[in-house]
Amino acid sequence: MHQPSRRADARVRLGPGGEVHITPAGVDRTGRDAQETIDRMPAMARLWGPEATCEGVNAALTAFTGRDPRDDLGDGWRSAVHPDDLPGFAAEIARAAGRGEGWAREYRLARADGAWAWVLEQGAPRRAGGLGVLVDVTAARVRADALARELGDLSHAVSHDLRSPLLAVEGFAELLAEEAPGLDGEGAHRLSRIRAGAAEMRAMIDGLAELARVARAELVVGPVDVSALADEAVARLRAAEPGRRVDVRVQPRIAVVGDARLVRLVVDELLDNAWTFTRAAGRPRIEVRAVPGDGAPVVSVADTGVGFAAERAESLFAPFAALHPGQGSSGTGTGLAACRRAVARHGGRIWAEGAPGAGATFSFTLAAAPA
Amino acid sequence: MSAPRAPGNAPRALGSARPIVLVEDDDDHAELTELALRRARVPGRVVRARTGAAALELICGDGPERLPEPPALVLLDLRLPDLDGRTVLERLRAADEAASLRVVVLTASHPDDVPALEGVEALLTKPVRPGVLAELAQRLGMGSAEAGA
Repeated sequence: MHQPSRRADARVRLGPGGEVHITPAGVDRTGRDAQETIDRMPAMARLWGPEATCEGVNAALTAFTGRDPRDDLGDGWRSAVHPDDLPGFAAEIARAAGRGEGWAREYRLARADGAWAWVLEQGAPRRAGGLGVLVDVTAARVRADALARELGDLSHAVSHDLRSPLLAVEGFAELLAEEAPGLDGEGAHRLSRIRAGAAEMRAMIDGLAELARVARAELVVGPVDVSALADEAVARLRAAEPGRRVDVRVQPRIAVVGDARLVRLVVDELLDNAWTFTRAAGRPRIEVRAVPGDGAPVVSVADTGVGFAAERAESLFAPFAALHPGQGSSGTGTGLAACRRAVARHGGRIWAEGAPGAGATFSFTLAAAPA
Repeated sequence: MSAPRAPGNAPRALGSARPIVLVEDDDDHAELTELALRRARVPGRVVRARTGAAALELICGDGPERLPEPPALVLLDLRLPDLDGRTVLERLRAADEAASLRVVVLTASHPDDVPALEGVEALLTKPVRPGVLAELAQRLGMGSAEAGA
């Protein structure tokens, strides 16, 4: 039984800014007092012990899940978390608690009505475990998904409508080039600019269409052999440019769980980029490797190419942000945006590290992202 | 060999070949496609339909518009102002008891954006190149003499 009298020993101290901190004695000294604290909280919360064991859930969380709180204790909580999200989340809790760090993670939790809800759990360390506070973010996620799909539908329609008249321009320009050998130097130059402009515009429209495809694609999730995809991409690049010598190393047996088409798109794009931006390197090297991550491996494509300014690491993934503006970038600036969307469709994330002249490393993981 | 093959480049077969129906609402693309057909020396006069309904009238209607003989080839754009190209395709197939009608689909979309189509000879992206048409005509035994310039 809880001893109310212990509250009389509340400690009072002054913070650095003169603010008053009152710590009711006993609270957090035993699990039972901590339980009483979270039960008074309006937000959903739970107490964690070492190795991602649950030591208590509060009334708000119990009302949300409709579960008997005793069923969540120990490893029992695991049965209420979506199996795809469970390994990553459990690993994060265990690791953060082990280091005495906080965490923030989104995952799917079974609701009382049986449907999956997306929750954001933010936690603070506490003794050998932690205290996690949960927020239902389902509505925001549904809205974001619907918005992405709407954007995909719009890009799809726009790219088609733009494409048709542009193809007519290209067709007539091609005829003119073939049928008018009498064009003088200046005329030929002007015609070539028309054709180059049309080709560039078509590449951009196709990039937009690809973004739309990624946003609208129905995910078919299964095991994907990343090493095999990388080998295929390298073989394609070598075949297109037999003269180039690039030292490419692909770590064997990199496996992820995802949509094969979208994973291929990411692997192709990252290798295309590495291939392109090592063009000026003395002894070009590209390495594809993976390290274990939370629930899913972190796959990296590292190159010894021209690199990029660190402050651009984020903007590279924006649509139409060419990697090296004005430097003859082969891309149209939608490739990395498509990669980001493809990875995000899996609930994962992609990021870039690099420095000018020091190469670039692009990494992605399909595991659920820390919020 | 269903169609007579003209010797060499002689265009004599043009007059005798069955017509080609081009279902295309866009004048520019229609011009480009007709030009490509000419340059590929695909025999047969080109009859243009601007809508799906007009195409159905030409090929399987019971009005005066109907062609006296079935076309040697139908070039069908998927985006039409009235009917969806797929619908036109389905109705043509339904009316075509002998299943002898050859349909080639034209699209301005990226090929990755075109879902699979059944019962068509080919899916061609616009603008159609004469070389592609010549190859196709040869494969279908339409007696194309050779690719245009």
